[in-house]
Order: sequence, then structure tokens, then C-alpha cells
Amino acid sequence: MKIAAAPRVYPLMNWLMVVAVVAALYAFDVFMAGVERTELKREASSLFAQGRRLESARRADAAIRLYRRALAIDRGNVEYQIALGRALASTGRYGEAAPVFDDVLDRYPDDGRGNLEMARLRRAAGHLSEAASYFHRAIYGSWLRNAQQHRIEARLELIDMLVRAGRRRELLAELLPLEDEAPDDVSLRLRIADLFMTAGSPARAAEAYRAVAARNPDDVRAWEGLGEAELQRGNYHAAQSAFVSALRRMPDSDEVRRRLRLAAQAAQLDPVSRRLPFPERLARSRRILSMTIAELQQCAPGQENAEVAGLTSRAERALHRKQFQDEDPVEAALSAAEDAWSYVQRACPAQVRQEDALALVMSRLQQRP
Amino acid sequence: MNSSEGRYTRCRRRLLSAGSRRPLKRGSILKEVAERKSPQRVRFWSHFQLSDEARIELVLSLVIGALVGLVVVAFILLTGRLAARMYPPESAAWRRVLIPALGSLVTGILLYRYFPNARGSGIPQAKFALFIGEGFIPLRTVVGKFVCCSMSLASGIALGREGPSVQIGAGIASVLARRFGLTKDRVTALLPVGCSAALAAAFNTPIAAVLFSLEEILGDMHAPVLGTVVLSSATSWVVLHLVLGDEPLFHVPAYQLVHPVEFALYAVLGIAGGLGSVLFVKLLLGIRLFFRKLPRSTVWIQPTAGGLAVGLMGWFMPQVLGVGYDFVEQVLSGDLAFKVVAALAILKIAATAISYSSGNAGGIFGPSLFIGAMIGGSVGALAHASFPGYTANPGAYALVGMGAAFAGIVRTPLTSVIMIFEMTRDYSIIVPLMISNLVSFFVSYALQREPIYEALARQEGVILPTGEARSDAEGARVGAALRQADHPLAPADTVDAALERIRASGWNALPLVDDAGVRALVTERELEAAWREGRRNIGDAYPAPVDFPFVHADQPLSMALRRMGSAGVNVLPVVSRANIRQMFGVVVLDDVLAAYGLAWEKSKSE
Repeated sequence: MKIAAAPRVYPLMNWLMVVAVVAALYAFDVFMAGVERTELKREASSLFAQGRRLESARRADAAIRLYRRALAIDRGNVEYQIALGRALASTGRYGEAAPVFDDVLDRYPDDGRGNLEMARLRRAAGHLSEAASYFHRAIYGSWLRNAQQHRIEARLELIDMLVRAGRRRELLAELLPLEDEAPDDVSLRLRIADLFMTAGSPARAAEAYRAVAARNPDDVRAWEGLGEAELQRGNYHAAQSAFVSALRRMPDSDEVRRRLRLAAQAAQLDPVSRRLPFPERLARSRRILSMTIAELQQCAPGQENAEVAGLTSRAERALHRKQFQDEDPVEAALSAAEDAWSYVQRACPAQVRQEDALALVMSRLQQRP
Repeated sequence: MNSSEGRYTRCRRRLLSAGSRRPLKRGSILKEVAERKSPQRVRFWSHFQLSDEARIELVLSLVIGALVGLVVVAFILLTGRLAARMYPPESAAWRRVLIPALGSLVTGILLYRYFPNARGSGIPQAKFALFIGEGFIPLRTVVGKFVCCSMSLASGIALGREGPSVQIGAGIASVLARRFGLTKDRVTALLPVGCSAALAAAFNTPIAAVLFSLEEILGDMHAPVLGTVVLSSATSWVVLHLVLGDEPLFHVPAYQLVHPVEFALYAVLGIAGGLGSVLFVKLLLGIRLFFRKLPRSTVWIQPTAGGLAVGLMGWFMPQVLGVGYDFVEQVLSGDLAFKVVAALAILKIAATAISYSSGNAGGIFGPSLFIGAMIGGSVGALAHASFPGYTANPGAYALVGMGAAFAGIVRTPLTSVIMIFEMTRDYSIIVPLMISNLVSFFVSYALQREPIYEALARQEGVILPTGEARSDAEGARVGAALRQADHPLAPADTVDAALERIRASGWNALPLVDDAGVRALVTERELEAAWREGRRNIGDAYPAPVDFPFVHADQPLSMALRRMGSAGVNVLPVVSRANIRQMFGVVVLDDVLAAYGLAWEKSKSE
């Protein structure tokens, strides 16, 4: 029990022994730590795989429990964290999911997956600007595999969000880089072209459709899209020709036939078509004016309204104006037609049919500088 | 060696060229050169000169830190891997009954036959060694503790690994210190060094480990071993990080106080934690008393009873088995159901009490945290269900509950706060933690006066000095033993008369007082010398004030004892802090001893 009276000597052997024991213990600890790490990773991986299976079987709550256990074992595993956060979000537990992604982004601020999931969370919460910011971080962030594909998908999700939110300017800003980055995939290229149309850029849409049609001449959707884009741009002949190409590849399509007919009518009505002789331009402009007045009278029968009366009288003058007077008769007729059409659009919006050649032409005329 | 010789040769040459006539001894040459270079620096470093033993002690505290850190890491890893093999994922339920029973049977036999001192937690055993065993812990006990605890914890016994780690750490410190031939005092002084290194590695809490060694093991927050304790704790922590990396024991989400009303709820949690702690301690002591009354021949089989009971509980709720830190982390994340955590709080109290009392090897630190987390989780779940808009996630309450139970069971509130903070590294929870811990501590103190380790020691027939008693003694001040100096010496007194007065007083010194106050403390020996020199008056021997030993009224009595010892007197003047010549009275050795309660023993011995 009592300590023996030891001599006060500190032989080298004691120190050597201590050093040997420390070295041996250190080696043992490092070995054991390695064994533990391997076994724990294996266990966590197994739990994660089970969680995946449960999530696929739509048992998200059970999957969440397994993901949590996997994370408790293999702390800080980004893949597990992302899966847990995604599962939590899928069950509507956004409040619990956010800290999980926050933790990932605290450690890896440029992690593509973390940013993408966070963007989805913010989008679900209705914070679109924040979501857009996270989408951008995901697009320019780092991805372990298939970075290009993930970036495009992230951008498409952002674009989809912008389309739903009606943010056309931001949408166009996202489409331009996407067009450069996107691989040569027909469906993706067609989707980009569609999105250009949605963003209100038929010129870029037409280019995109034309590029697809050039590489895949049998793609009816490309020809159809090109026709629509050209219709929007006011290139009715080009639209006609595109619809003809489409109809040639899909002769049974009534829809294409209808659009072709519309393009042909618009082409015949278009007063600003290039290389059109003056008499023909004058005739077309007066025809447009006559049709507009008919629409106006249908919108406001009788002439009790002073504004309608003024517009009608101005149209009458423009219709009977002689050539070579101080004002261009074509411009006079078109100007009167535009004013009358504006009234119809304002007073009788239900009367304006978008599928109508007159509406198409008037729409283009209104866009003139 | 070579560089030293080179330096010596260079110094010698320089001194010769400077015309030194002194004998050219190696030490004096180096010293002279050093003094010529920078006298101030030499004087400065002379403050740090240590004796050989002190130097060895300092180096050993580093070595103990590293060695204990490595052993504890090995202990943790070995226990974890063994447990993983005994309970593979998705294993059958029968394992949960059979393995704890078998494990406790094997360890019971080992403990009975080979390692009788390796039973139980390890904290009381370390304190026995510290206070009554002169620092002696045999290597066999260290080995036994390591082996038996690894087996019993891996088999699922509901005990913790931290208490055993503390005994292993203290044991390693004791073995090393003895191996290096240190004196008994220094061996004893190294025990807390081993304890703190062990706890730092076991919990990954270096600051709490230091505090625990001071607060619980030594019971003295101002212990002189603080430096070495800190050194070993830091070394051990570094070793832990080298091997296992930088991971806190528990990963918790960031909590925050949702509403000030939560402070009241945390106080309620403190009450619940305190009551739970008292229930646990009383149950454990009661069951232990029952087992101690059984015939001695059954000691080897007693642990099996504990193992079987835990196994049966584990059949229904596997979370009861083992340390259970994985489940604690789930609860801390708020992933819990009220019924489960409430049931686990009760079952774990019962499982740990019976595991420990039946004589299995393992500690109660880990189970305290588990019980606290479950109590906290239950209170939190109820609070959150009742006031969802005013309360945080139940996980926050589980976290605070861990500290509350620890403070209530182990009775170290300061260590508890710092430990939970270090374990989770979450500062935001610290104020609720302090509130809850203190409430729990006071509830526990009110209902169960004796702390658990003292109570366990008392059952063994050992009375350990409690921290409370020591702090009471430390708290006694000089003012409490102050008495008037009835017959101080005056400068005009003759030496003969002064000698007579000193001898009549029964003291060996008297203060010499003039109009301005104390001029000196005159000892009997000095008066005799003055008498031999033929001086008439004391004023002739002390014409002006001289330095004299003294104390102030607000200083501890221990300080008066130390000063009396170093000055060789049994009386000291008690003087003002503003003017040391202004005397309030004197303090006498007999009065100091009486204040420590030793007057009776003195009179008895006389």
C-alpha cells in the first residue's frame, strides 16, 4: 500500500521506456482510429443506402431518421446532409431543412448541390430574389461530377422560376449564356428557342429554331417554331415558307395548316413588305383601314361617341385622300388605322382575336418606331 | 554536449583576454559572461530556477498528459469497436439480454479474482489514493480498470467511460512518478494531473477537465498544482486531436432563446434535473447498500445481476444499453418523442443505479449526461407543446438538462457549465445552462446533503475530506482569531523586563510598539542576544523600525500559519493594510489551531 522509498535517480532507461510506450500507444491509436473510421463509414453508408430505398418508396419520414443516423456516424458528409435536407424539404419541413443546407454552405460556400437545394428552399418560401442568388451560386459553384450538366439544369430551373414569375428581362439574361453553354441536344435547343419566344425575343427564337431545323431538317417542331417566330417578327413570307416545310413533313396537321393560312393572309395584308410597289402598298394600307373601321363600327355601333366619330371621319378622309398631296397617303391611312385599332383594343378587348391576320399585322405596325 | 564545450572554451578565452584573475572554473566563467552580457536577464531567470524534482515533475506532467491521452483514446476506440462487434447492426434482440449478462459475469470474475480495486467508477478510488493512500495506485489496478471497463462497457452495461478514465489517468501518473523516484508528496501532487489529462481526452473538454480536477478531485480552486494540471490537460487534448481530429462530443444545432419566459422554464428544468439527480443518487446508494449486505462469497456474481437487469431493460429499449451518446445526440437534435425520452430517463436511472451498485466497472458521468438529456428532452417537449411560440426546440432543453443533471449528481456546477459548453461549443445556451445548473445544484443539495462520491466512500468506511469542509477552513480569517496585544514592549523597557514579560506570556515574541506604532516583532532569542551584548533598553537594540512578519485581519488563517512557520514565531501582529505600523492586535498559534478545531487534540496530547 505504501510507496517504497525509491532512490532519486532518473535513469535514461526510464525515459527510453516512456518514449517506447508512447510510440507504441500512438501507433495502436492511429491503427484503431483508422479501423473505426472505416467501419463507421461503412455503417453510415449502409444506413444511407437504406434511407435512399425508403425515400424511393415514398417513406420520407423513415428515410429522414436513417439519414440522421448516418450523419451522426459520418459527421459532415455532404452527400448525406444534402439527402437529409432534401428529404426534409420534400415533407414540407423547410425550417429543419434550411439549417442542414446552411451547415453545408458554411463549410463549402461554393458547393453546387448545397446552393441549388438552398435555392429550391428559398423558392418554395417565395423569396425569389434570394432563390435567384442561390441559383447563380449553384450555376457558378463547384460540382463533383458532370459539372456542365448540373450547371445547365440549375440554370433551367432558374429560368423556369423566372418564367413563372413573369420576369422576362431576367429570363432573357439567363437564356443568352444558356444558349452558349448548352450542348448540341435537339430537345434542349428547342426548349431554349421556346424560352426565347416566352422572353419576347422572336428574333433570337427564330435563329435558334433555324439552327435546329438546319441540322435536323425532319424536325417538325423546329419548322413550326420557326414559323411562329417569324410570324411574331412580321416576316410573314418566311413564316409561310416555314409552315409549308412543316406541313410537308406532317401533312395531316390541321394546326399547321391553320397557321399557314394565317401567315398567307398576313403576307397578303402586310403594307410594309419590302420591294412592294407603291400602288400595292397604298391599296393594302387602305384595305387595312377599311377593315379597322369595320372593327371600330362593330365595337361602337352608331356614332354617338365623339371619339369614334372623330376616328371615323379621319379614316374617311384618309381613304379618299388624293395622291401627291403634302402627306403620304399610305402613312395617313396606316396612322388612322392604328388609332382606330387602339380604340378597339382599349374599348373592346374581347373583340380582338390574336389568331386574326389583321390583329397580327396591326400588332406589328404598332411596334414601328 | 559539444556545443556546450565550445561555448565554455570561447568564454574562457574571452575572460583571459579581459585579464580576469579569478580561478577559471567552468560554472563561474559562464556565469560571469552571462552577468557581463545582461545582469538583469540573469536576475530575471533566477526566479524560474527549479529544483531537480520540480523540473522532473514539470516534465512528467507533459509526459503524463501525452501518455494518459493516448491510453484514454485507446480505451475509447477499443470500447467502441468491441461494442460494434457485440451488437452488429440489425442484430437479434436476444443479444441485448445475453451479452450484458455474460459480459458482467466475466468482468465480475476478473474483478473479484485479479483486480478488486478496479470496481466502480474510479473517481472515489482516485480520491482515496490522493487523500489517504499517499498517491499510490498500482499498475495492476490501471490494467484491470482498462480491461474490465472495456469489456463491461462494450457488453452494454449502462455505465460511462469517463470515471474509469480518471482512475486510469491518476494511476498512470502514480506509476510514472514512482518509477522516476519522486517523493510521496510529489507523487500525490501528480494524481490530479493524471485525472485532468484523462478527462480532457475522455470528454474532449480541456478546460472542464482542469476545473473538475480542482473542484471535485482536490476540492480547492486555488490548488498550487494548477499549472501542471493545465499543462497535462492541454497535452492530452492535443494528443486526442492528433489521433481523432477536431470533433466535439456532441454536434448540436445552434440554439437561441426564443422568449425571456424561457428563463422560467429553464429554472423548472433545473428543479426537474435536481429531483432526478436526487432520485438517481438515493437509488444508487440504496441498491449498493443492499448488495453490500449480501454474503462476501457472492461478490463475483453480483455484477451479473446488474448485467441481467440491464439486458432485460435493453430487450424493450435498446437505447438503455451502453453509454448511449448516439441517442443523446439524436435527442439534442430535437429528433425525439416525449414518451420515449421520458421512459428512457426513468429506465436509465434504474439501469445505471443497478449496474453500478452491483459492482460493475464503469462510471456515472456519461449516464448523468444521458439522464439529464432525457429529463431535459421531456421537459422541453412538454414546454414546446404547451407554449410553441415562446419556447425553443426541445433539443435545447435536452442540452441544458445534461448540465443540470451533471451539476445535481456530481455537484460540480462550474465544471458542469464549462463542460457542456465545451462539449457542444454553443455559447448561446450558457445563461440558461447557468440558471438550470444552479437550481438543480441547490435542489439536489437540499434533498441529499452528501455528494455522491463522499457517500460512496462512506459506504466503504472511508471519510474523505469534502471540498465544502476544506473551503470552510480556508474561509476562516485572521480577524476571527484576533486578540488584543495586552502587554506590548516599549522602547524604554529594559531587556531584562522584556525577557521576563515574554517568558510570562507563553509566546516566543512580542511586538515592540512606539508612538508611531509597531517598530519590530522582538523574539525571545533576539532579546537574549541583546542581553548578552549588554544592551540596557530595547530601544537601543531597535533604534528605528525594522521589517517584521505580520498579517492582515482579512487574510486566511492558513496564511498566518505559514508566516509563523517561516518566521519561527508563535505570535504575529495584525496590522492595517493602509499603514503596517498600525496594529489592531495579535494572532496567536493556539487561537489559529482552535479556529481549525484542533484545540481539543492539543490539550489532549498535552
